[in-house]
Amino acid sequence: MRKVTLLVLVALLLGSVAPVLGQTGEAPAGTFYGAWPYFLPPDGHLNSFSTGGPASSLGLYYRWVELPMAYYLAAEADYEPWLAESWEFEGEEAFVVHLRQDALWSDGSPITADDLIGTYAIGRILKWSDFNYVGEVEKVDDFTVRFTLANPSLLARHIILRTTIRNMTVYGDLAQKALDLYASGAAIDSEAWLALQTEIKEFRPEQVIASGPFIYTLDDVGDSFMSLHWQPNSIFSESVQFGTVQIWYGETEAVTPLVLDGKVTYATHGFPPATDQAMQDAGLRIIRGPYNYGAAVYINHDVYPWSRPEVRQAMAMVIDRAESAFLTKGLSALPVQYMGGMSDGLIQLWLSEDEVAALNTYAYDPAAAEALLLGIGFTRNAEGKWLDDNGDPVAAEYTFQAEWADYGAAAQNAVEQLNAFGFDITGRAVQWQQLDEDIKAGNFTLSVRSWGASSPFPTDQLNGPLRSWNYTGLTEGQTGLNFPMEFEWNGEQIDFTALIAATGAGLDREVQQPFVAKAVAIFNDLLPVIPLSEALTNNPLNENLASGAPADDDPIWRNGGGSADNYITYLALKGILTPGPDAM
Amino acid sequence: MEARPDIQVVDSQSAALWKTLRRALTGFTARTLLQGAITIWAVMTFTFILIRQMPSNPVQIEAERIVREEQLSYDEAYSRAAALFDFNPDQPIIEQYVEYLGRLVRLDLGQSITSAGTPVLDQILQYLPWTVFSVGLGLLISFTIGIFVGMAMAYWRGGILDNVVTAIASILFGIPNYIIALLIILILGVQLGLIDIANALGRVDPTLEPGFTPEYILSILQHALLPVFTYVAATVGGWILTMKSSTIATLGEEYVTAAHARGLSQWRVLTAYVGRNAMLPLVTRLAISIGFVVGGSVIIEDIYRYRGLGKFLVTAIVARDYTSMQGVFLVIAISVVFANILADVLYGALDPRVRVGGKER
Amino acid sequence: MDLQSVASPTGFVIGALCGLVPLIIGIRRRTFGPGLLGFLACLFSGFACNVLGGLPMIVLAVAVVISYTYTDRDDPFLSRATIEEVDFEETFGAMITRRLATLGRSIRVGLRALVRNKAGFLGFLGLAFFFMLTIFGPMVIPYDGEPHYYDRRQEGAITLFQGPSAEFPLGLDWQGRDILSHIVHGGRALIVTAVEAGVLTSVIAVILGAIAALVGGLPDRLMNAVANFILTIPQFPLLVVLAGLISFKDRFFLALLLAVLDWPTLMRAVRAQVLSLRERDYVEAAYALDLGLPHIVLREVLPQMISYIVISTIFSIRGAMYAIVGLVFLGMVPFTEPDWGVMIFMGRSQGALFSASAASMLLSPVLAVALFQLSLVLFTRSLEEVFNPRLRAGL
Repeated sequence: MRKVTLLVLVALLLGSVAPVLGQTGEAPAGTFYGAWPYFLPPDGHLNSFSTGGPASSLGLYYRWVELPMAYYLAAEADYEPWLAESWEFEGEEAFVVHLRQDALWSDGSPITADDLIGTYAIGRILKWSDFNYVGEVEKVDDFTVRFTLANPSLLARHIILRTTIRNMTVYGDLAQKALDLYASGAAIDSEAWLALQTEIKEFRPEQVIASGPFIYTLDDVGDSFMSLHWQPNSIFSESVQFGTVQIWYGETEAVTPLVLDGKVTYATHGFPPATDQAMQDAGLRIIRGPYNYGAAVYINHDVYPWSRPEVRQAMAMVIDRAESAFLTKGLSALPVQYMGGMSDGLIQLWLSEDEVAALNTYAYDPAAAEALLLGIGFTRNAEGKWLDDNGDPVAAEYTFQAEWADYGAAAQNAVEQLNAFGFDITGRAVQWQQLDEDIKAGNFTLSVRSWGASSPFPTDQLNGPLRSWNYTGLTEGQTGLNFPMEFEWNGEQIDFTALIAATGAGLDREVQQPFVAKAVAIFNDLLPVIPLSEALTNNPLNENLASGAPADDDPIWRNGGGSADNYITYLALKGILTPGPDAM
Repeated sequence: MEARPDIQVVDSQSAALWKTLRRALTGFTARTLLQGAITIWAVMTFTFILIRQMPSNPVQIEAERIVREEQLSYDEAYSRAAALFDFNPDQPIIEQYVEYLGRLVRLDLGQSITSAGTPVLDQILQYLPWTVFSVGLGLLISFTIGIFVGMAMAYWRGGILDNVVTAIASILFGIPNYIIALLIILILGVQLGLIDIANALGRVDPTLEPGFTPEYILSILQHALLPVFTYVAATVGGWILTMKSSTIATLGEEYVTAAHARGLSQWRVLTAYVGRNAMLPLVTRLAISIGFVVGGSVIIEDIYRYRGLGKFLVTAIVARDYTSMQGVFLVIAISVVFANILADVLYGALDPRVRVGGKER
Repeated sequence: MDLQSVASPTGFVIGALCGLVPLIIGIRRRTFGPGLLGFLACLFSGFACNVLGGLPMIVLAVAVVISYTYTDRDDPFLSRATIEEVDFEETFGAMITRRLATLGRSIRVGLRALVRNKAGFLGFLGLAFFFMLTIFGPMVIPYDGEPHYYDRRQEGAITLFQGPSAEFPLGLDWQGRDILSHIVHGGRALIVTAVEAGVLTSVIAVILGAIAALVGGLPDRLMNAVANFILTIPQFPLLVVLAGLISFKDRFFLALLLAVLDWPTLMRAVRAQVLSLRERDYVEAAYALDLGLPHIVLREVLPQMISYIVISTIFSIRGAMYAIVGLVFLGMVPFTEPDWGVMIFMGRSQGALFSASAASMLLSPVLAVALFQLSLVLFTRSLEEVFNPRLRAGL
């Protein structure tokens, strides 16, 4: 106990000295040019909890302003401590986080447990999904917070550690109200709860108090770009090599000319292959990191004969996935290899060699597919078109998103390949919102959507299509894929929902592994959806504007180009990426 | 254009003009206003019901985004999205309507659904000036060019000017504005590299401090160049051709011949007699066009990334932000109704026939 | 409304059979030139549109053929007025002949007027070109609709886009498909929908305008209010909303919707015209004779307004095409390929805007739409001359 007090004293001392020290530091020269469709005032504001605030507005650059507790390194499946110093599970009951004691806000005050507790108090009112795993959030001391676990899982750690901490000078009043409301035992969605929710959403702070090395005000937000400015008090203020971050406004089409013109250091947008080509011609380096998901054939399991696993297996063998991947996203998509419902990289990480070898890779093989279908009583008619065992033609409508060029291409190509094999498929483009409704309502036969998930956890990967698009995760009356989650497999009764849950339950990877292997094997055999390709990023990196990016085989690129845990965030904040010759 | 205006009416002086303007203004009184108000209400109600019939709703759209990005089940994502938005999908539409109407009476357009806490009025005020500026400037320029060129062509009809301009005007009139915009970017920007697209898009250079400084105004004009040029190119042909035919028709009128006969100078005849009368149908059309300035041009603003009201409206439609959509539709309806009233007043003030007989319309 | 037909061999036979009628009449009346021309016209339109094109063309061709002999045989100096003079003694056959001759004469005068205005004739040629392209093009250039991969991917290329080459004059699109074939096949649905919308607009406007003017009272006020209402709603944003609401699987409904939003302007003009016509003697007489609304509209009002209505229809077609392509452009309508609008949308979303080798995928449909619209607008000049005798006289 005395040790802690001493530590606190030291921290406070440091806290009072640090700003003085910090402010002597000068902003590094050099500008980082990003691009993102941020929100413009009045839709854009500084409330990090509400849509339009930094968290939803700045994309990956948000974490350059408000830091998370830790950064996930995908290649090592481990975390690097940022605002947290260390953490541990207390059995299966709780997860404890120790914050760094030398981390400061941009106003010079220390980042403490109160900030973290306040952040979660407000998050609870806003129904953050963290509370699927977390029960109570308690302060142990000024720098230690204890999360009791409602649902012990490694995912809880993943979610908590990657949460950004917000400043209680700004949000303190709201946090206090949230704590009081929760303590009063008010029911979720009670009137008081909703009123506080509204108050939180409508709160418009006048400033950002940053924990990251960059800060901005609404005056910095312009309509063709916005700027973030270096501030001296962050734990990364010393290491980061850029003094200004200039974010160009815009979605893909608006950003493309800027990228080709050499005005953007790095962009995360999904560019079409033609632009990919133009970027390469312009001498830009293209980073292809994993998304961990991609296009899949969605199947309505209520419709015969698609409900037969043999038909789905045959489909997997007659669609050439190399062709499909290229047409979907050019070089930024890979054909799926293992067909296990998880990213190929993750399957190699989780399954033993023998288990991987046992998976059916469904290599392109129309002859085998033919034999498979003939074996279950299907026949070909005089024109070579397939008839099912009832003598009905194997025909269906294949709907796809009219506006999504990549998935549209995947679908059109699948239609062609299936027809070449002798099915009778018609493609139809539908507005994407309408198609979402159709799929959820079970109002489709074949369609295209994603398999996998951006999360690296097997549970999320397997759940990708099965929770968001199957009856188990949808609202009353919606059937979605209607893939039965309870069935007999290899003579064993399987509860697939429970099995997938088991892949993420508990805190021991070794315990989870057999469940993962089994779930993957089942997915591989039954193919609830048929994975076609796995998407890769095609982020341009302009090496005239930024030097020091590691070689293509560096493990950091395994992190992907998403908003959280983006590789560029790591490289920039750690000072590995430095201003290039044109950025000074 | 069948009735023959009296010569003496055309000779009117400004005092008489004022008198008629006053009469025209008193003519449109409570009745016109009431009609306008009813039209606005009808449009408001119609769009209110219509936009809520579109598939999906703001919470569902956001929930799907969350599902895509954060691996939650749809139910979880839905409740989170609902917590973020000021919208209750289960509220009966009639209740929403009464609520909205109640607020509207107090001149409150409500808050944006997808950006909780942001008043719709603020959003509109953010986007409206830019659209009014760019589309309005385009309209003004093309109208002015149209009037003068059209008149000149009619006067020297059959000449080189007439033939060349007629050809150009017909071509411009024939091509949709978004095609012109695409061609500008494709050919001038990408293939020939004459325009620096990267710097030409958007509304203004954000590094400049907003204010009435020469740099800031210059930057605004510079960024408005492409959209305004496109608006002018797409509409000027129509104005020129209309003005030309209108002038030709006027030139044939008896009072013009009479004026010539009275020995009035060529210039005076052209400005006082021909010009004013030929412009008459165009002025009313201009007034009506002004009403639609507010709506902007959805596709042009999309192509040039010019964030005006049209672009904002499409964004709101895609996100199903009912209140924002509703606000924009309302503002457009109001401006169109007022522009129509303006057109009537102008017509009454300028058209001698209406002045004398007052039985038309 | 099945105008989606493409030229076919059957059509050729039908056309040839239809062509025999004017040819035989021409031979019997010893006007070989016009007879032969009539044969060719029937052959052509039958080829293009089967029975739908062949049968009407018989009437038109025969009319022209007869108009030559009618004047030639009776009296070479016969004036038009004499042809129209009513002979109460004439037999049914004579009446038909006289009517046909009148029609034929108008056609000939019209055709001459059509050719006289250079700009208008250019527009006519443009429209004829697109007509040939969409009707006969498919016979020459088959539709290349399936995505390609192995057969057309160039070594090391990231995309299947290709610039123009000898094999593919307009290059390949993002799925390696022949752009030329998409231009040839992609205009028909668009043009048909736009024409349907334009015609529907005029039909609705004329009917409602005539009713409003002739019936007056409550229907008149009601229709005016509705017209006011429609004119107040911003059209394009409304279309965007409606496109989200209605699934336009059948493009005909899109045409209908466009017509429903477009009729007020023409309707007001028709109403005003009918009101002024009502004062005139022959309409009053028709009224007095109680000849009924359809008769008054069809026989008295329409002929007076035909010029205005036809030109207004053309502008409605133009507006409809603007709206359809615009909607597809924003991705608001379900696509059916091949379609020029879809090409523009896909080209844009596939990055063709910023890639030199891919530019053809955008430029080709953009130019096709632009040229078609241009031809429409230019063509109205000729129509003005055809319908407006005052202009025809030389003003």
